[in-house]
Amino acid sequence: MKADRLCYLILTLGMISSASLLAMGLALYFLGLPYRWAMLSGITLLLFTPMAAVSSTIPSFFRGGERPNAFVSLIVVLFMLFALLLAFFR
Amino acid sequence: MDLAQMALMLLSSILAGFVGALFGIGGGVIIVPTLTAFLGLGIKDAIATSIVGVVATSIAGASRYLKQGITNVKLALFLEMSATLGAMSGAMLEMVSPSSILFMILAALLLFMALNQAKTFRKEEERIKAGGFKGKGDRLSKGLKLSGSYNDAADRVRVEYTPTRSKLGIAMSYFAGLFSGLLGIGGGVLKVPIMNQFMDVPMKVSVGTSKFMIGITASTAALVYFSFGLVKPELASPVVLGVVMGATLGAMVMNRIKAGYLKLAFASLLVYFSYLMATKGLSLMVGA
Repeated sequence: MKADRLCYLILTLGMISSASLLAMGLALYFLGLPYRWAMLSGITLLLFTPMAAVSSTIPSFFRGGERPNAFVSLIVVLFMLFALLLAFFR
Repeated sequence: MDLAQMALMLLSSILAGFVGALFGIGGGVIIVPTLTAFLGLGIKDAIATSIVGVVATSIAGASRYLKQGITNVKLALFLEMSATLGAMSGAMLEMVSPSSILFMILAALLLFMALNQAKTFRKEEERIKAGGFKGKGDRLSKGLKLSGSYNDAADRVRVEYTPTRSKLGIAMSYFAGLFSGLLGIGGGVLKVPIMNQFMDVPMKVSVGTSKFMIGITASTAALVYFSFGLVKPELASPVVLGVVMGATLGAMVMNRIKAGYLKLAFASLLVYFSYLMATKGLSLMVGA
């Protein structure tokens, strides 16, 4: 599958599932039922979606014979992970 | 939080998402003041909530733009390499640089970009009608196959383009990231003009590509906030739902607007950002 299409699918899936969980969380909040699990899962899913989309392009570019682009994607993912580690240990 | 507060959060988030998708920016500039001024939140809570909203607006906007063939993923990742590096350097240099001067430099830079955007708004329209932005490109853009095309819904033409001056673009993206890291501003307001003015990428592609890039940068910062327990899910949930609605709507509208008008509106936004940066810089100077 082409990288653009794969990114689109992952972003759309991430957006729909996280928005659904957050909407469910809000409904539970107003009903006075336990809601944090739904909201926290929704936010976690949302925040990992861009990393999942970028990571998905690596095998996609590689399979398509676009190795320089696969390398660029890999660098971006590594920078994202490095930035996270840097923030945690600062 | 009662229903009225939630409705206000939802409405301001819809507006932030709409403006963010229209101009390829994060929308934090709308979310943070609403949360602090109207809902009485502390600045830390507002920023943590806003950054989650920025990720959501990016995902919603970018997914729509990808479907329309406007976002250029290869270009986004290519520029994001240096933007992320710049943001990390900025965060590390934060303590040692005089912010007031940086704010003033950024204000001047934004004003220069605004004038350039306003000056070239007719040219953008003419180029779209004449068949696009298909230049020769450079070695880097050819090697990475950064060229692309999209259907312009306003002019009903297929616009082909080949980014140029890739080395300049990647260098400027580093500085855009550096300013983001140093001053805590979103990068979209710089990324769009870098692509459009310096790399010869059509305005709409710059907006769509910037939208994708913002999510990559913001998600890393948001994950840090989230893992430290700074994101309050009760606040973030209505913001996310609002920006998703607004960004989806904005991304549906953007391609129907003439690229020249979009550039003019973006120039006005840059003037506003320039004013914000100048006042921040001046207040820091006076405070010091």
